[in-house]
Amino acid sequence: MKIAVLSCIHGNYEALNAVLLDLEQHKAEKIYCLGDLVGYGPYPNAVVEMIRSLDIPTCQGCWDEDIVEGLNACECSYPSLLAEQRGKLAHEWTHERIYPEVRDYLAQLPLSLREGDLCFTHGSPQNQHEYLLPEMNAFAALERVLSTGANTLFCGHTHVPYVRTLEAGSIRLRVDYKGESGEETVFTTPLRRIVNVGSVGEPRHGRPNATYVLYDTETDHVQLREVEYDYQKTCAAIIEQGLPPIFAWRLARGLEFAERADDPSHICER
Amino acid sequence: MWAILSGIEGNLTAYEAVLRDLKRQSVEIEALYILGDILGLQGPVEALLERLQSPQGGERTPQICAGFWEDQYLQMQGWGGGQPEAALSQYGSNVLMELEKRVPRSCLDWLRSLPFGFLELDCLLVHGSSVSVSDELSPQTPPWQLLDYLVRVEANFLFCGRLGQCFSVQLQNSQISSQVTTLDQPLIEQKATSSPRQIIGVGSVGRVSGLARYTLFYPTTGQIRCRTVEYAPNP
Amino acid sequence: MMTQLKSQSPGLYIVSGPAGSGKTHWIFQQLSKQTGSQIYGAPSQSSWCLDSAYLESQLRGDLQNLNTRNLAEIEGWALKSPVYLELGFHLDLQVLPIFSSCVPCHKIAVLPSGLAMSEWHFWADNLVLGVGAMNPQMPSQIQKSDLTGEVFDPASLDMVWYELTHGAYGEVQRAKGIFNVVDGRSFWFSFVAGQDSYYEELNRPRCLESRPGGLSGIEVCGQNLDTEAIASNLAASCLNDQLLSHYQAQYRSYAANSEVVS
Ligand SMILES: [Zn+2]
Ligand SMILES: [Zn+2]
Repeated sequence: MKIAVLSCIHGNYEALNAVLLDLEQHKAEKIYCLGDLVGYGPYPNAVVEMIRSLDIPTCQGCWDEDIVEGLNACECSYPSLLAEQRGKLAHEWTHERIYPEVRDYLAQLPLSLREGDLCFTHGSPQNQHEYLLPEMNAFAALERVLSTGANTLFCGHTHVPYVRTLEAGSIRLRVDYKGESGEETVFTTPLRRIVNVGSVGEPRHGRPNATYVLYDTETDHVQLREVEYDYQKTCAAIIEQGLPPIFAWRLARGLEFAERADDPSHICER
Repeated sequence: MWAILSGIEGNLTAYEAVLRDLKRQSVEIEALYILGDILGLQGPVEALLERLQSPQGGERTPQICAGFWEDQYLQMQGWGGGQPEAALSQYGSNVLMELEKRVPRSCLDWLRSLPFGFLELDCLLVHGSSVSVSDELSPQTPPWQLLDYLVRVEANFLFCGRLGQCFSVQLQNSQISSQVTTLDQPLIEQKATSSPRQIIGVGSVGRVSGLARYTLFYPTTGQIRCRTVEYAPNP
Repeated sequence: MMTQLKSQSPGLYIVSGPAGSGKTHWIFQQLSKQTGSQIYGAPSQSSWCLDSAYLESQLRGDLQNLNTRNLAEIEGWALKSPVYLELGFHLDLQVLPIFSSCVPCHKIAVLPSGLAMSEWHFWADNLVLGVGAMNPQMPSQIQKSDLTGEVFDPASLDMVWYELTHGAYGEVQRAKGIFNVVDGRSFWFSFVAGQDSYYEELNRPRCLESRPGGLSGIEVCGQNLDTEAIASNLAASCLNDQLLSHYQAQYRSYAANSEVVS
């Protein structure tokens, strides 16, 4: 079976439609969505309604959580004052416009989904705000997959797609417990994989095109898709709807609107 | 040499026994760490807090971080944005009353000021794990998870106390291959290896009556000794 | 007609050229070779001038900053030592003040390579090869903002500067600025269309207590500039009093600790 996995639509209705068309042309039989339906973009309600009308299994993204729970992150979760100001502007804008039933829908989304040996999540299995970047320490990356029990972990949140294969992992282990020195054991792990599906509505790979992933469960083949769409329409809507015009400028260049620097190992000092 | 303690849990007699044992050591104690669980169900806390804050002749001032019971007590008092669910589920519904009886409210500010842990040289000292005070690391914890806790903070030693027992897990010759495919770059292949790392359970001073356990650590050599001190418990 | 100018002898050295061609840089080179007084004036500038603030910070020795309205004073100095006057690119070369003929006067044009005949070629008696390529269009807009006392969050400053120099707020041909950042240092930022930005730390005392007093500001030249957006994004990148004193206290304690170690 061919499945399509999308993430980070961020209220970009044009991009979502282009991706839905593309995956239909590629005969995807099932769609999964990894969250961040809203935030930044001009059409949060329309995007949620589309996802719901197609009955797409969806996990909760960091933006979906923040819209439901309110922004309670500390300032240091933003890498800069400017990103903080822009992030908050986008949050307020979305917060004011979102319909109550859309909020209710976002609130009940699960943090992760399982399907056979596949696991779907927004950031990492433990935290919607954690970035699984391709350069993350390989042992830490492996732990994220192993903690789910699945073979392949699909995630989003970084807005740049990649496939990372982790194999031939081994650790030599010696345990001293209750005064006794244990034997040395060698722990090995089978092949595991992280698939980051990029972003439909707020790409960050340097081009304005939408990205998502097609996965064939029979052949185990992952295809990173990049889909052109009329991003100028979204740019015009961003300005028309009163969102900061700089979002339109950044969208047209494939630059993230306002970075977040959420890091679970970060200990907040303020 | 460092002395690393955890889990006094209100047991002042046990703490005194450990302090006497420290005085008997031939090597100088350069640092005294207490990895949380000053509070607990083993005894009233008031006298213990007094004793912690006033070291006597030659004793080190303890460096104290928050533990499970400190966290649960703060939750109970409405700090920390949650409910003391972990304590309720593990110790039953009477636990809050029991704790309330033993802890003076006046220590609330002091409890709130406790740090999450210490990162000193290449050592992380915490109550639970580098992620949470309620994580209970043990020799049964999957090695990948243990390695992840160390890698996150780039430490070689992780000292923890939640399990309440002395143990050590050494992770060596860790290796893994990784391949990354992106839209634009050619395939990136990496082989990662990790230096030897170690997770140490430091034991519990006060949880078992009559038997205090704690850990001595030589930062220059990496040597670890688990000490067991027998003492006559208060009737 | 590229001449090697002897610029050490007394006299007036009037320097002109298009935006971003390297006028201040050329003057900096001349002044740093000099042993005697370093005298500079920028007649085209209003109350504050980034170029002279840059020279003041970066030159060893004391820079004498001239009041360019006082022609007699300029002439007086020029009889004793070299005096550099930097003209903005937008100044009309035909209506310059007339100096007394007893002062030796050199007219220097700093021009980018590949510039065909221009008014500078007719005006100058010395041509100096500057940097970059000639921009076909003269900037139609100049935005100057005094930012003295403002302290920037470096990550935000980088972001605004990137956006500014990549066209987010209109077509920028030339931008320069002096910015204070939260770790107490000050930087010179310079951009000319078609080239990478240039950054240099200024030799100013590190400010870790209250707000720095040295001149800080930005000057942007170009077309269709969204001056409001530039100003508001810059403002959003600056620290308020509370944040500033919080971070300064941190930097002070780092500084104190590293002194103990070293
Ligand atoms: Zn996202
Ligand atoms: Zn996200």
